[in-house]
Amino acid sequence: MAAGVEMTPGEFRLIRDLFHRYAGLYFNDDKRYLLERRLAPRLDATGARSFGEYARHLRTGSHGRRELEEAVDRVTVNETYFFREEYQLRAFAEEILPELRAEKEDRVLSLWSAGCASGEEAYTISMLLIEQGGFRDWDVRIVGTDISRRVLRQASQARYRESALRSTTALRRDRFFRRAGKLWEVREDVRAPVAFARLNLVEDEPLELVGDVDVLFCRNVLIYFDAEVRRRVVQSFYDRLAPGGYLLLGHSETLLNLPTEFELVQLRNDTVYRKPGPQRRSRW
Amino acid sequence: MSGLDLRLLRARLAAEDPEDRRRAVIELPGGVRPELLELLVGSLGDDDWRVRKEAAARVSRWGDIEGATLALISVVRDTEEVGRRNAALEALARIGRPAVGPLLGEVSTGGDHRKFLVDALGVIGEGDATPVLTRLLTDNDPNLRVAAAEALRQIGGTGAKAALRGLLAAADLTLRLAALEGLAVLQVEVQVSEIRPSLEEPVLRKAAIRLLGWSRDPVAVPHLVDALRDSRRALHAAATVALATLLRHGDDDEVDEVRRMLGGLGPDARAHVVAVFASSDPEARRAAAAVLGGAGASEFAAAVAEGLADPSIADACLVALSTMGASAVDAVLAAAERVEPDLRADLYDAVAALGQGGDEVDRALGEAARGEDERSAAAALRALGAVGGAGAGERAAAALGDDSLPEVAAAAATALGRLAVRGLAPGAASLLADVGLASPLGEVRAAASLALSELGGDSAADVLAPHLEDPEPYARLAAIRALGTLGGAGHQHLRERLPAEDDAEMAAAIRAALAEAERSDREPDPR
Repeated sequence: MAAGVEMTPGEFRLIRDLFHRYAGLYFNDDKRYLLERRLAPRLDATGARSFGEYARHLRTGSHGRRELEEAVDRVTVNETYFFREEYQLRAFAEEILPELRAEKEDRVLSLWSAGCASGEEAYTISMLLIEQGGFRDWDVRIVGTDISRRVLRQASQARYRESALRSTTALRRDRFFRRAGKLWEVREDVRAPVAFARLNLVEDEPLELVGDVDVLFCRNVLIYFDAEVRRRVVQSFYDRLAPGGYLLLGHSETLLNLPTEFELVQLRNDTVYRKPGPQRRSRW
Repeated sequence: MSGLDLRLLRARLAAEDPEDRRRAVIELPGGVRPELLELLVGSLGDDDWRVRKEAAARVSRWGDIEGATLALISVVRDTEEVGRRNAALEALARIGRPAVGPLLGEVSTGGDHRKFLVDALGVIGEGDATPVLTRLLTDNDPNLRVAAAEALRQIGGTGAKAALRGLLAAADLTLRLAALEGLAVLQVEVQVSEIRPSLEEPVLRKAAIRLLGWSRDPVAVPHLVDALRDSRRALHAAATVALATLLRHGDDDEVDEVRRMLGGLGPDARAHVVAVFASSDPEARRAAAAVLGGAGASEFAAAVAEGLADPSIADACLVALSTMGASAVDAVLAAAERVEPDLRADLYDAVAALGQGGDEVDRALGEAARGEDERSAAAALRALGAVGGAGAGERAAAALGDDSLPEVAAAAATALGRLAVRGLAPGAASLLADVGLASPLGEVRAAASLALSELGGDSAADVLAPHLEDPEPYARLAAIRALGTLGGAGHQHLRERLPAEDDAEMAAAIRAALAEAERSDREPDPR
């Protein structure tokens, strides 16, 4: 049994490098114990006797790719909640959405939650659109993507523990959720415009799935990447956004020190990034 | 381009609205014309930082990169304006490698501005600059010497490390300070004897303490414990980080020795480490958690468990709790009820590592094993296998047959095996064979195979042998490994299977299992 099997520093580096190549994730030496603990059950599940053997299997085994997905899922943090970083959501609801409503003549609104984990952010966006009220007869598409199939299954089920509603007011809770035993279930009208898909941000081609995007949320995801992967992912975001489209990052994230064409836009409620576009004048 | 155009561009670059000026910078035509470069370089001194930043970005992509580099060096040499100079340095850093040659030429001349250029070389980080920077360590200008040491730290590499190490005996304390700090950042293993003289210098003490962490030598511990007792926060915080570095990067023997020495940590030193844990600096907090764990300070387990709520230190707290010893188990179980599912699973695995059972632990784990989150429930079952009492087998047996929760069922197989080895699940072998190996889930069959192999016996080998043809590759691999562990009849099954095995991966696994068995036969069991 895998109990007590330790991950040597060499094995840690092997597995870390595999995660980096596959998903752009970077784990420093501090994370060895965490990887050891979270991957130990996979040794038994795959018949590996050591983490070295497990790493070889990830790299060359006939089912290595499938196992790599499972392994990455286990070592990434997927904890999030509804209405996270509210000041930014205010900027989105009170400043960005009215601008898009005024300027988009095709009445198609495309929003992407990249690294959506169990879906709280994508549903929050949908709730804000309902509150805004001006998009009822629009073609609204909200796509949540994540590398983990497990969290995407949870997202599709749309059922959440109480702690996921820690920043949700009672008014919003009653309007957008209903009780499902110990859990809270997102109501159908919120779920309707939201779709989820598995997507590895480091692989370029699947990004085509998302289409041209008006607002891209990628909060607390880039922090897991090293500089080179961050640069590539930010460039792919740039390519995927429509001219004038917005990129919203987590509060501790910045594109400083990254060569990027994004403009920094100072809104009343937050500072966001925008792809330069002909139709809107930039503001500070 | 006509003269009129240039006048227009100048007017736009001088517009009242800074956004208009920034737009003008963006829309300035590209190319190699010197008069356009001059305009762009002029915007490096704009009153508005966003315009300066845009100009720095544009000039760093200029068509004539050599011309741009020389113009930027001139700005740094000739200006007293901080904003303009910083914008020029930012542009030089963005240019990167192509700027290194001209920069090295300029720093070999004279003048106070060389310090700024050396800073830029550090940011660029090209190893080609190392020999020149090493020579500058003996320059007459003390500011330049320190800037060179800091640039070497940023560049890293063998040459830079050697140059910095050579400064540990320098009479110039400012230079020695830069070396101590640089070597710690570059994680250079330095002998305690090389650092010890700097511990005596008050101005160097903090940096010397930090570097002791990279000595990888338990001889450093008494120095660090001394510093932990010091009431000055800067010193005991530095010692905390250094001790955590020793724990993190030492080999097993070194870590065991450090832990043994930390076991005798006095109450004043422990209180200082707890104060560091309560600070707002995540690096210091992570280090404090590691030291409390290394010292087995389970009286602080509840405090460390509070840190699990902070994602920037949660994993460090988890490691600390797992190493605090059996008396931390109550705090771990209490924390598990508060945290999110992924971390909860980690905490139940930590309970297994702590090795402390009891009625209350059984109750908490038993309840968790029935919980909604599959991963946490699985971890609780594994922990029950490791530390659970007589009733744990019943819980595991019930979970083994639940095909709706694959991870939980697989964990139940593992738990049953562990309990049986501990003499607490007498019927485990039959359950594993009849229910576990018959499961429709490959991962449950794999876990059951491995659990059976721990129980031993020729009958187990016969039960496992059909799984050498299991449709699920992982279950086949597990059966191979299990039969290899069993030896005797297990090896016979593997030898018989090998000629018929047409999957190269499985054949290699069988050969490896047999080869390992032969190795084990040759080497006597140390027990």
